[in-house]
Amino acid sequence: MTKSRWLKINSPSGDNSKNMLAVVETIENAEIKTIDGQTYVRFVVVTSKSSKSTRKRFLFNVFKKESNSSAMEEDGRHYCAIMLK
Amino acid sequence: MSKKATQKNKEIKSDNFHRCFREWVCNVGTILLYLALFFSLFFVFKDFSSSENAGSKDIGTLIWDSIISVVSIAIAITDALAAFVLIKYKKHASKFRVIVLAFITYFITVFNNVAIHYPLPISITVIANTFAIVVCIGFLVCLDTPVKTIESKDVKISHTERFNKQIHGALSSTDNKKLIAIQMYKIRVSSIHIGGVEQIEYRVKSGAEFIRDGNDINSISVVTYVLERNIVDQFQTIMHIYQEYVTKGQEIKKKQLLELINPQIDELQNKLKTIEIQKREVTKEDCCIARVLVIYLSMKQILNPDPESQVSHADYIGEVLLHDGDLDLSPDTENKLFTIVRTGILGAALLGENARHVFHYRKDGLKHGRKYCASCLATLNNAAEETAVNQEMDVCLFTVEANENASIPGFVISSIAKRESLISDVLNKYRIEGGDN
Repeated sequence: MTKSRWLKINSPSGDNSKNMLAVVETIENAEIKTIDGQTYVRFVVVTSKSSKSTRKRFLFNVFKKESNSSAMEEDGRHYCAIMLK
Repeated sequence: MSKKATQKNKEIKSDNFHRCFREWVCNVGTILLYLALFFSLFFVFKDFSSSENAGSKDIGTLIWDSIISVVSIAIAITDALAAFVLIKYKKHASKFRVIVLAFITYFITVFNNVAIHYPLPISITVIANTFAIVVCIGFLVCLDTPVKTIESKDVKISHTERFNKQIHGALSSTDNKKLIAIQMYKIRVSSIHIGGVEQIEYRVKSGAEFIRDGNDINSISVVTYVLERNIVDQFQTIMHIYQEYVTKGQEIKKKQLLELINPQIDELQNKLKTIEIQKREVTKEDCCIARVLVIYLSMKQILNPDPESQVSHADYIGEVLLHDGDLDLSPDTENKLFTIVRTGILGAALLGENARHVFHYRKDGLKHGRKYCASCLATLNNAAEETAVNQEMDVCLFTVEANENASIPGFVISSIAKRESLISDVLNKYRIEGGDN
């Protein structure tokens, strides 16, 4: 378990930055600090590489996906997906 | 030079000192062994010259007296000390050979005492001593042989070459024909200032690769991506919140997430719209922004699926299929955003170690039958100052043969996960050793 680098949340006066900060405050182990009026946040990074249960769940999901995913390919140009490890 | 680099140099110097010290101690140990042998022989010849009282004792008493004689005990202590030094400090010395060597030296001393006082014929004593000397010399020479071999190997095969060899082993250890290429990329992430705005620069350099025979692969040699730190840091903060939402499944966070993602999407779309408003050329930064934008759109798609859309799989934490015009840009501009610079690796770097980035882009509506899965396997923070940006990442790009279907088959994902694990093991091993890869 490591920590991410300090992420800068720009213009804390902005609505989106305020909202972001409000959500970050609810996250366990998230660290927040302010230097020279600039707010930074940092998170705990759990790098647990594909435990068996996760992999099984994932494989099941992928197989489930295959059945109906061909239709969406027909006229799409750019495909983008994110999958958790 | 950074603090980490200075620290590493100190560790290397300290390591070299200890290595020299150990070698020096080993050499002394070996000399002691030789001395023990010659010490023993010296007493043999001394006793040959003064063996007038020989034959006055029975063989049992004689052997016992020889075992406990001052000379034998002195040899035993010297032997034990030399053997301990060799085993402890000579990295590649065979324990078995060291112990046998020590016993031969001790027993030849005892034998000589017995031979003189029994007495045995001088020819037998000479033959036994000659045999012992030959065996001892043989063992001493053989003791050094493995060390020399390995050292010369070390000179021939540098640290980087060994790393590349092991990485290639991890990459190519698959018979899965669907995985047609696996390419490693090293990314250096740093902060730069352009026009007073802090930017994050991702300098990507290709590394080891495995390409299955019969496939053509275009590879990135070196490429640099630049994004405003504001965009990168807000993206990664949202990504952490998103992972928190996925892990804990809190509905309230889903609403909050959408409230965070929507303004980001608007901001990035507005930036891209300036291409057509200002009638300017598509830049590399625009391509990077487009990559961040489609990842946001993929998250939004999962969080708030469009009921009319055919893409509605809640299995991935992000998934979107864009059609011409979906980015509110002309097809030509959209085409340029995803073809001028290939930014899939940037996507993996942005997502971090906990997620994979799957993507493909169909040029001119043609089906290429290839999907890409980019995965960040390791991140090392090198920043001297806490809030500075100075990282190294290892990203692996898997090229998968996947006809028609957008999803990558489960058995291929399983193979990808296995390769990731193997490569991570090699990376961690060499990172701990402080490799120069």
